[in-house]
Amino acid sequence: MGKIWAIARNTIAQAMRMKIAAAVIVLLLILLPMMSMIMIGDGTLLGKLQTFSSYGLSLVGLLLSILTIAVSTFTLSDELKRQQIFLVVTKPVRRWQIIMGKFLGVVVLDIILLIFFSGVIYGLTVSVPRLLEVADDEKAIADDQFFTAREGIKVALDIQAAAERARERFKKLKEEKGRDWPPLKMAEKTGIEERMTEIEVLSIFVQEEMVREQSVEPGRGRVWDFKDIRPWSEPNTMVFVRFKLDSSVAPPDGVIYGLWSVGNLPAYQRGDGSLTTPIYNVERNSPTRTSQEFFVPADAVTQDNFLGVGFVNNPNLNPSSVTIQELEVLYKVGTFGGNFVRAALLMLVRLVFLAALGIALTTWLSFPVAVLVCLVIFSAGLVNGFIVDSIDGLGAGIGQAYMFTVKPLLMLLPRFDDNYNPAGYVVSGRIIRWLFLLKAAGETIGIKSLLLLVLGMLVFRRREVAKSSV
Amino acid sequence: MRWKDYGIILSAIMIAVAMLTLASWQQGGIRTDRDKMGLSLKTDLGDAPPSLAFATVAMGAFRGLIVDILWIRADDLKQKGQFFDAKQLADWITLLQPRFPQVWDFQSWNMAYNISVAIPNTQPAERWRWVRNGYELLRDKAIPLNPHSIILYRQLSWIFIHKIGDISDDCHMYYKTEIASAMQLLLGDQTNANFENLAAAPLALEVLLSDAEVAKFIEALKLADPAFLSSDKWVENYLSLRQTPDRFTKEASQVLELYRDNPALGKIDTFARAYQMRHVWKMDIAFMQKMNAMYGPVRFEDPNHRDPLNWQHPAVHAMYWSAKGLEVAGKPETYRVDEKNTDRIIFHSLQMLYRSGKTLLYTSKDGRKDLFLRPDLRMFTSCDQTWKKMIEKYEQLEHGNPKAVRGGHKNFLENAVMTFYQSGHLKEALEIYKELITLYSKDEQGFEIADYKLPMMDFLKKQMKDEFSSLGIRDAVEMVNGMLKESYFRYAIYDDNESAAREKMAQEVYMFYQKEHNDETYRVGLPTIDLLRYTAFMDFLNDPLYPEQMRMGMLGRMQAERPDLFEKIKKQEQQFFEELRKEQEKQNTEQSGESPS
Repeated sequence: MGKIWAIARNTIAQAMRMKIAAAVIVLLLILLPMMSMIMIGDGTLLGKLQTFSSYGLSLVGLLLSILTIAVSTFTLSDELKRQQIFLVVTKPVRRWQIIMGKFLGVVVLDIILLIFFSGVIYGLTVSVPRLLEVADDEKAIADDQFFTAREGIKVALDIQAAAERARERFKKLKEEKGRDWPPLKMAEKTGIEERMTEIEVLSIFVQEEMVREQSVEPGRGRVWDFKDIRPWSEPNTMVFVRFKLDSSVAPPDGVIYGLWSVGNLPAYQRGDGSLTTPIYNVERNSPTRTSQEFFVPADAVTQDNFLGVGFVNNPNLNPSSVTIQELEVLYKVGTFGGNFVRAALLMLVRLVFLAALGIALTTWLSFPVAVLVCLVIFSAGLVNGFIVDSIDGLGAGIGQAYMFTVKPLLMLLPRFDDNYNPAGYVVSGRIIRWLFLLKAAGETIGIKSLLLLVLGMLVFRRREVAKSSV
Repeated sequence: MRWKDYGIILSAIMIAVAMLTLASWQQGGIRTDRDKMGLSLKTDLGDAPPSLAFATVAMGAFRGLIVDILWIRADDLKQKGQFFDAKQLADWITLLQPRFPQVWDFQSWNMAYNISVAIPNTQPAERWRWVRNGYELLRDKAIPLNPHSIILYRQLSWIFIHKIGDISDDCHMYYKTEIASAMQLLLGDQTNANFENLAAAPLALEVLLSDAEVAKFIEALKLADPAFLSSDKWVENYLSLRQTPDRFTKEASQVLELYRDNPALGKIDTFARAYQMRHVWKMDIAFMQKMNAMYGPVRFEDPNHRDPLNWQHPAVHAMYWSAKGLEVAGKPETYRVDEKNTDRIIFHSLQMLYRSGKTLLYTSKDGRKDLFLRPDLRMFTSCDQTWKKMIEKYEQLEHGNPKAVRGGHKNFLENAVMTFYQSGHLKEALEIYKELITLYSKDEQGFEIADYKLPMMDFLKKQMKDEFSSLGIRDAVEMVNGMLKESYFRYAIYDDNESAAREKMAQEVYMFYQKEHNDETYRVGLPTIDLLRYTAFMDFLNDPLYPEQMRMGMLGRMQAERPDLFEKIKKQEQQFFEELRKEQEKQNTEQSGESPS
């Protein structure tokens, strides 16, 4: 361990002498405070905090990632190029210990810089409300929606029930239509009418049933149950309802009018005297296809952690059915500080992977090539989710081909976007669960990084260090 | 190196130079072709601020990529309902694509429409901020950078007339109140003389300093409060001092008091207000005067005299920007879609002003501001003249059949006759009727319209009969109640002529309805006019839409100035409660009579 640590210390010292390290540190030291002052977002305290934390964390993540790539690829390749490695390999140090030492050095450097700059962002973020003269209600909104860690419970669509209903419908129509079933469609390639396949019809029916699960017709209402809601037992705690609305016929003003009810709605409907918590009614006119949130006091949640959310489609104002998508209830389960630490750890997972990648690649590639490959993989990691979703959205034929070729390769690559981007959690005040963090660390560090390091060690073990590489 | 190598190097250099020269000769032709095909943007950065010049030049080929990333982020955040970054992204996108008007158009629309409605209507101030962000982006940045792009002027006008001026947004009254408050502060009494003074006000504070008294005053203010040392914010601070002196030192208020009767104060007031109009609201005061002269309301007593437009109303701002756009960027000879749409905004603005152009900004003692809008019949002439011009343009430039437009004009004149009559302007009503029967004496098939052969009063009676004959008792009662309530409102704001006109109209409608429905059932069902007066009175007193101070003021005024009417209403109240008590007793007796015991 002593040998590994000695190499690690040497690597840290080497990295600190690099101009890029100095440039990154100076850049962040200048930019972060400047950003906290000049970024105003939408002018509200919440907007300012969200903008600063979003850009601040992204900037720190980006610059530290670039630094990690540069340092991890440079440290070994430079020693190989300048033949300084001879001084090390001639000592009783194993090749794998050199790799581990380099890796450890880069990771320790990352940890130090991450702690420092995360601390800077955290300090600036919590100072902003104190330094600005803002109204109390703006501070309250910032406390509820930013300086918090909220858990979200989404509506679980009963896919099986929807599929069952679709099958029933299909069976019934088949019996009714007889020879005129399945229906006809225009074939894409030939332009001739042909019968749809049973699978095609069933999948359409299932989709329709799924939409029906989320739709509310004019003049009707629907209630969704949310169980296991455990908001913090602080006074004035709020519970948030998040949703996105769409309608079958686009309203001319792009707005959907409706009445939301939140509380123990089943007890209210039964009217048997079991209602002990308040019901809150919220009238909202919301734009279509845009996520929205509103909040009600947490005393709407019952003792057994149940909450009902209902929506009534106002027939006088909405001429068509309304689909409620992405319905979710959010409630506070943790503190901002704790969540911020987890966000920093999530960022560290990314940096550890990049460190392992850089070190592993330089065991067999030269510095420029290794940097290029690292940057490509890093960029792919930033858009991994987008590419995977795009493949899922491809048509049947070509999608199947990609499913078995490109998609498995993408699974090997890291994921740095969507749920793996810590900035998103901090901005929206959502909790990063320890379990998720462990899962991300397990996948990225435990499997992918370890695999890379092992490969690197194997290559380096067999590599002739005296031979120059081009 | 051998001579052969030198020869090769020299040849290579000469070939390279020749190729470069050949390439540069092609530039002129390529640029011309690009302009012809509309592929090039005007990228003259001579007058652009340094940040803009840097952003557009330094980015080089990456500018397009960065713009794409920003657009994707903006759309992604919008999908997630996160708008904290929307303004910043709009600023950056427009910084990188400043000469692309559609970018400014989209971003301003996104802020004013999409983002503002995402804020709950219980937060009107927050919503207003986004609407302002939208129109300020166009007014303050887009138009100065793209002064010849008519779509920007159109979008700016549209935000004023539709988002702010119309009623589709739940918070529209808040927006209107904000505009009215701001304009009241800057324009005060909207008279032609006031506008003359504003137009004549110097463009810079330094020019004003040539007046010795003004210079002394400014010096005294600087000594009184350090806030006035900065020349950048001098005007802003001065206007703030005039409005809320408590924000500044006592010495500053004392200086104001000292110069209260000094003409220097008036000069500075005028300068400050003109400065704000020019630099903050970006409005050309001379052009505003031109608009006043072209479209201002006409006095009934002097038809040759036009008063200034009511700049507290958002429709006037819509007209201003539309007209400005047409003047600066329009091509009237081609009459493109953009010119047509901008033209129409002027037309719709005038209609809006006719229907609701009179504003009353009522400030209660607790600081609450309420805005009331009422028809401004003086705008009839401008509306009518513009309508006729529209018909003419339609015929000459579009070579179309203006049937629909003429039909609209005819209906407008018909309604105007009734409106003017109901408001007590008989002479004007008659003139409009004469115009109506002159222009539209025949229908589309060429037959004479029988109704237009009637004298005006008979025509009006027939109109009323057609309108009221389909009304049930309830609707009739509501109509009369509404007119009486309006009459009390007008009385509360000391608009006595209109108040009397409304009351008279209510009585006429009541009597007309009573006469037309001579049926026993209707006569029994229709309440007495005194009872209707009472219910309307109580409706007004209990209506929270009107500030409490206004309602109590009306009550007090009525007690003092119209004690006979007040007594009548009190008597009616007693009668009403007496009848109610009798009715209740009757019901109780019937119920006790039906009980098993």
